[in-house]
Amino acid sequence: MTPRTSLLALLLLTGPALAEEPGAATGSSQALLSIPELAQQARADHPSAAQQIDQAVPFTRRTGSLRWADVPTGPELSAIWLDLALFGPEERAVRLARAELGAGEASAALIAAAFQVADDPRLRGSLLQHTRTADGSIVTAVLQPALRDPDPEVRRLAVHAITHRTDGPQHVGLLQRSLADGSPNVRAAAAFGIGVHGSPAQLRSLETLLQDPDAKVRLNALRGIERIEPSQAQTKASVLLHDPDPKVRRDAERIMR
Amino acid sequence: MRIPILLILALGACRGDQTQIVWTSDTDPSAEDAGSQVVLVVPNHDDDDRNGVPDWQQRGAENDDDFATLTLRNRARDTLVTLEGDQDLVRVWYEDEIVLGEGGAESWLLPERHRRDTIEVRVEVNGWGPLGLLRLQDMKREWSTEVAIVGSEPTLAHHLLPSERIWVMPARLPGRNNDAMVADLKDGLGSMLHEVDALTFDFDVWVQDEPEFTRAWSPDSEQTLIINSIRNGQGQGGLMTFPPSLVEPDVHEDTWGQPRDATTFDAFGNLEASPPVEVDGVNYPMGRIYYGWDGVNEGVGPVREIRDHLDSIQSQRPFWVDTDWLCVAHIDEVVSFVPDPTAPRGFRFLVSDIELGYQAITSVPAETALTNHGLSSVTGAGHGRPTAGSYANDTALRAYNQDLQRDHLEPIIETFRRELALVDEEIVRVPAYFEEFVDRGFVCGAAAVIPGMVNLLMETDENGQGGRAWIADPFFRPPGAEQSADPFIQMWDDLLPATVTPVYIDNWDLYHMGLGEVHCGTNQERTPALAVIDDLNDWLLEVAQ
Repeated sequence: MTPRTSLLALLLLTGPALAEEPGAATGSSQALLSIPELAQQARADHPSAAQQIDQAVPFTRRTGSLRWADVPTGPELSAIWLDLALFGPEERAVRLARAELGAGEASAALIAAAFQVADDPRLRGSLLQHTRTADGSIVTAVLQPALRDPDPEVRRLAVHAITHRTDGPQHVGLLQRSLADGSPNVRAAAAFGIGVHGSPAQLRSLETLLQDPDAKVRLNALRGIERIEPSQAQTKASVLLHDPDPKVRRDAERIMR
Repeated sequence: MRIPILLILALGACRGDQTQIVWTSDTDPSAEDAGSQVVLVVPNHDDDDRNGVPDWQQRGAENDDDFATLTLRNRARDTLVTLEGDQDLVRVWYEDEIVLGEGGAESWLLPERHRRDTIEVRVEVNGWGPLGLLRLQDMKREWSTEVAIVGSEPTLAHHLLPSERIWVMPARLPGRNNDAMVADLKDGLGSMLHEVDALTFDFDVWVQDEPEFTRAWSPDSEQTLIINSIRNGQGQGGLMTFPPSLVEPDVHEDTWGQPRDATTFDAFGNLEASPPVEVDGVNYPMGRIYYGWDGVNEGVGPVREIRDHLDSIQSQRPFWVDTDWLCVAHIDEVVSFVPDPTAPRGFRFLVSDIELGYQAITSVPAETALTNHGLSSVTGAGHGRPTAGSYANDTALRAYNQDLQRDHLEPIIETFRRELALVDEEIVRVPAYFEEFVDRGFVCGAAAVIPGMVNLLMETDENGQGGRAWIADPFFRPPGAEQSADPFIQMWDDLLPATVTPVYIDNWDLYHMGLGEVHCGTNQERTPALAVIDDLNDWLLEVAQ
């Protein structure tokens, strides 16, 4: 789907969170949500703020990415930011930064809508930037779909966000499913998250990953076991004392000491 | 029968007339007037006549002063002078004529009128390191002697050298500015502080990243080479034209590599030099260059062209450590050096330490309100962490930091220990804490979440033994509380050498939240003491001989 087609498209979304979205079919399990239409409405309601958003000058981070200061934000303006991010004429770096900012205070439903429309994986990743601190509805509406994203970096970001959420322990099941992801980066991130939030019930899954072909996955699995059940770590570490990767060997030796 | 005196060479026009080099053929080599058989010359890469063409390319630019002057006291009738080595990198001038080397010949018979006379020649070079050999031969007596020609190396400054000029860019944009930091620097540094114009250079506040000031010395002159990074304001221009704006006689700039190949590793927060060290019997009088690179792959280190250039500076033989795990990937984010006359070699190596960071975080009650930290992370004003507990109780953040220590910081310490022969006493761990930063839709890597205090500006006194360390204020205390109530500041106060006065300045908004700190937003030129220059020159002469 191209941005322009999506501009005209009405998005079909599901989920209870959408019922709260302006323009959504209240009480229905399905909602029609168009970011351009919502943005248009927000511009009409907040013309001054919209003008400021259009004219805001970004700052450059040391990485070259952009951010804004002293610009109007808030849930009522998120659609404007996201509309510009998805369909605006600016260069990619500006659109990515707009996506980060716009998603930061948007409702879960709006982020989910933007997530479905965005055909650039980095744009989808940028929409996940602040999902770590968003309310719990974001997990079902955005992070779960993101775990099935075709782009491995987006899946990794979803795992990262779940891991760093304060309600992370409630979503260990999602992390556990990602242990079988096709991308080693995602598996490694999931193993780290399980290590932080998991319980002895997940030890078996982590043990399996000690045989993973990717060294970072093996390392995080070993550390996960150590974090969940330190008493078992030594036994598990012994099998990695001759690991081909020096970092894994070094950590196994550390645990054995 | 004694060997007759053939020549006495004197290297004239010396800096302060301190380095008179006399060279005779028949005196005891250890005698005071025996002198050196090496002439040290600054590469003639600047543009003294400001006509846009480097002086070397002009073969005699107006006002050109980057020569070594040799006084030949010729005691022979017929003396043949020959130049061996790279003829393209050396010129020997007699009066206004090139007699040897590039643009001249390979040999030159001294003019008849100078038989048994004193004459002056000038030596000009287009490179550094050992470049050639002048052989002087008495045609009648079959006696000859040699003078090695060495180009002095453009070396990077280290933190023990006295500060000379410090640069910062005052920047004011709607809602963001660095007024507080600039005001503190102005108050403290006075005329040493120089401002970089924000409008001219497109508000590219990362003054550390574009120019790298290097200097070459000879007894006759000195020359500053500003390496202009290919980062070019992260591809937006920015400070790209700042180094050219500093060019003047004896100051020139050059670039290694192509902007299209630039990565974050090519910014000069990722290029530093250690204080002087001796490692495995090798003396490094100006320290060693270090930067972040994985040692294998292009794209995760400075481009090959700049690495090759740095490798050519043999007196500061470079080494590297892996910084790819950092989002910005600059070595200045995790290590620094400060002078300390009580240390074994006059300095301490500062390195970020997670456990100390966690100790500082948990040393105050979890409900302690924090300044700035609780500001919105959405707008990039803060981290959305309003209390000490926001950090202390974040188990994922704690685990992430523990892994950083094991996987990256400890190996970095080991590399520095090996490459600089550091002993435990020289290593000072300082509190730090990181987050895994997400940038432009991907997991970028580690970034300081408590302002990176090790990423500091060391303003060094004239004696090189102390000074002021300008350090990012961590703001790990309630709004309005004194700095002395801040556990990070308390820890730093205890850890810094007595001769280094810390000044904690507000770099929160433009710098810290932009993924940099005080060092990243400043740059400086340093002036070595004459003794340091002499040490460096001795090193070069030793290599040449």
